[in-house]
Amino acid sequence: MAYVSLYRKWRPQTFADVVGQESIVTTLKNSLEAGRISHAYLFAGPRGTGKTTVARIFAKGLNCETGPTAAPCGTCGECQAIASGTSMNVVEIDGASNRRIDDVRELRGEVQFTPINARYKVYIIDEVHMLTTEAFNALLKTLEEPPAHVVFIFATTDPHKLPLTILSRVQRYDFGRFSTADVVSRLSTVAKLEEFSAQGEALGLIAEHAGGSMRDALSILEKCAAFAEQISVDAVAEVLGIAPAEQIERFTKHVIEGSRSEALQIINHLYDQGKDLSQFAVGVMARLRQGILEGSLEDGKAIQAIETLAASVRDMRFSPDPRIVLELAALKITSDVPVAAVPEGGKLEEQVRKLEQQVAALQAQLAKERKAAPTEEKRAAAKIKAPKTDDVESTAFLIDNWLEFLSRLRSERLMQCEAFLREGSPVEVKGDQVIVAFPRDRGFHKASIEQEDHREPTQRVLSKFMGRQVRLECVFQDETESPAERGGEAKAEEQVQPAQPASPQQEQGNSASEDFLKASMEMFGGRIISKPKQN
Amino acid sequence: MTLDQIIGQAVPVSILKRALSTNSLGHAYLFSGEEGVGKETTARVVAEELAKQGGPLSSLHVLGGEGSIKIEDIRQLRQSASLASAGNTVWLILDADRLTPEAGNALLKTLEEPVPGTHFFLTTTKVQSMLPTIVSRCQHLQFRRIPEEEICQWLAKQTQQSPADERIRTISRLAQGSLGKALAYWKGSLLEERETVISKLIQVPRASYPAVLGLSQTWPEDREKIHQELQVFLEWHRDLLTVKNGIDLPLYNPGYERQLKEISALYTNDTLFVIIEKIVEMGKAIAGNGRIRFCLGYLLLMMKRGALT
Repeated sequence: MAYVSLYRKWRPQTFADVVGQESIVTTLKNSLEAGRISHAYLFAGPRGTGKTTVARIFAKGLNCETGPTAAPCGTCGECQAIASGTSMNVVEIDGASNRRIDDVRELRGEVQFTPINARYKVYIIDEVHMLTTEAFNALLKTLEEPPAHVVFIFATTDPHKLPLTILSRVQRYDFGRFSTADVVSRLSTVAKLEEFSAQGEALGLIAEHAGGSMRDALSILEKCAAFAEQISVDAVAEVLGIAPAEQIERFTKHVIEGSRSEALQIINHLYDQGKDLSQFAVGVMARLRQGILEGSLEDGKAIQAIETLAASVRDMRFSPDPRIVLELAALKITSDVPVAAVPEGGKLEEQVRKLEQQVAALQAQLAKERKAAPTEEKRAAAKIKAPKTDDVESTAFLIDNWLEFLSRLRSERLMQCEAFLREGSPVEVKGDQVIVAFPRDRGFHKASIEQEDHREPTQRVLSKFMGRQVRLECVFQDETESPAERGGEAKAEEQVQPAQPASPQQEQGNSASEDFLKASMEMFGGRIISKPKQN
Repeated sequence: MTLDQIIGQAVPVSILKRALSTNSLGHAYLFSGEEGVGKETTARVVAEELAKQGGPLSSLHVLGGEGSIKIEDIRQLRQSASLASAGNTVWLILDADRLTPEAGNALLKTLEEPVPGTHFFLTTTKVQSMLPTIVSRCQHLQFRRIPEEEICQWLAKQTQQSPADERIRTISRLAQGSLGKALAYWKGSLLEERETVISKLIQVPRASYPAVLGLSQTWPEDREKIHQELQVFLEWHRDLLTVKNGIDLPLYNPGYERQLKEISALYTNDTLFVIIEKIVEMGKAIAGNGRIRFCLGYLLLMMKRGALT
């Protein structure tokens, strides 16, 4: 006979074999004994929690020669036919492949026929959440009032995908994940029957990694049995790619103590052995958590480490190289440790000097801000009225209010002029000259605005806007150096000064956005219209 | 080819070998792991072995490999898989994470209880995006990244070079545990492209702001490529951190020790962490359709700004 996987071979055949799910099993057994059979059941729960298995046992209980019984004999014709999947009266339907309305119509026709040599016709519809809406609707009527000989059992991992109209017509049983103890007990039963030699601890480790699913657990057991004669903790760890507990312990100690080099050596060692680094990180997080609970680790430090590791686990998923992600996380955690930071500052005097520098820098910054404030006010005033003479201020005024000027053109019904000018940007005011620069590829717009019948009305509006007579001068961008750029560069250089800011984060945010602005201007040749205030 | 010739996958290989020799091969296996670590090769070797055992009526069907796998494909599979054959029937489903949810659900029943003599081998690089109900029905074998040393030996043999050759060593380090990637490095111009990126990174801290922005304009607007290059950014800064802190680990850029030392003196640890965060952030931005040169410009400016020149 062909080899059958453990999870199929040892599928429980009677209620007595089922571990866990006690309340469900008891209820179903009682209803079988009492003969109170509902016509539709829904078994919902995560993968590998026994939905299909219990459905089959329940079907046996219904149709067993000795039944309806809570203890199907397993030997009568019907029981055996159900176990081997050949019964005419227990029909297992794959809801995912037969999800269309036509499939349900066919089913509706079929349920009318009475069972052959049995009490009930049982329809087990697995993955029922995959039926289409139309198919569900077609099923409603049959589900509410099926022929007396029909029992439906729906099984699904996603009950929330079923329409409410279906949910209200079925008796629902929620299958929970198995506890580790339940899984271990079943694993050791199977191991004994299969004559595997397995350590209890090893089975515990398998159970922990099965996530409450019996099928996953038996799958892992099968893998381990194929890997090693003796199923030991080491063998399981090897198969699952788990790092030995001792490595987790050492790594945790190193990162908390700030021993960078040692921590990184461990990561590289594990990587070379092909261990799963993200599982390792999860293990370390669990160890840190335990340390917090026991009070053996300082809360703040450990929590910070857990947060950094959690982020790294997320990043590892999408990174082509998990090693570098974990290395960086370890470096980060260790550099948060004050003990490691002290040698950089050195002696006490040096730290005091550093502090003094910081205070001085702070004071300088404050003074600068006080000086800067009045200019802000002046600017606001300038917005109301254009400055008469000063070129620099006129330039600033025009750059600041360029959009306003363009809309003025529009309101004077000079749409075309506005459209041409929109492609350029004001660069400078020199005496009565207003210089507007165009990109090279906007030669057409430049030439058009330079035509007298466009230039003349534009100049008229512009003069009115500036409050004095001006001339419009058009150039190409590469023929001029924008003062905005020159200003920007000076500002950028200022930021490079290693003034010690009070809050590096804030400083960073501000100048980062400055850089960003500058980069944008260089790349897209834009102009600054307004800047959002930093809070 | 035999299972013994599969490089660096001791655990899956020994499990499969034993299962084959004791005639206890499961009906469904899922091979997960990075690109180019031997998943498909292993599956094909096992399929060949099964064909030998099953006789002339055995067959191999391959599904997937490009694009998504749709429910129609699975319906056809179910139809032909429901027929028992005198030989062994092997279904190889490549990139099983590309099964649409409908197709995946439609496969469940067949995958759990196929007719005798039918075997499924699924491969994936993204097991976390597969239906848990599919994964749970397969024996899930994780294919590991291949250790550097083994890649080095293999590549040297393939290319008839010495394992001590510097190019071979560097490639083995950069291949991230994948033979496929190692070979791509060897055959293509990836290594040279990498040097170009690094030569630009070296300029950044001491260049003027406009020059830094100018540098960002020299990048090709190639979305695929940019992710590889950002990885180089990351590796470079990781090396800066290790050199700066005097950590004794192999470098990603072993030929640049002098430059790494000089440049790492220009940064504080905190700045390097900020830059690294920005690299990751920009990687995500570009993946989310951000403008490449714009993001790079920003990134390079951050690097320049952080340097204490």
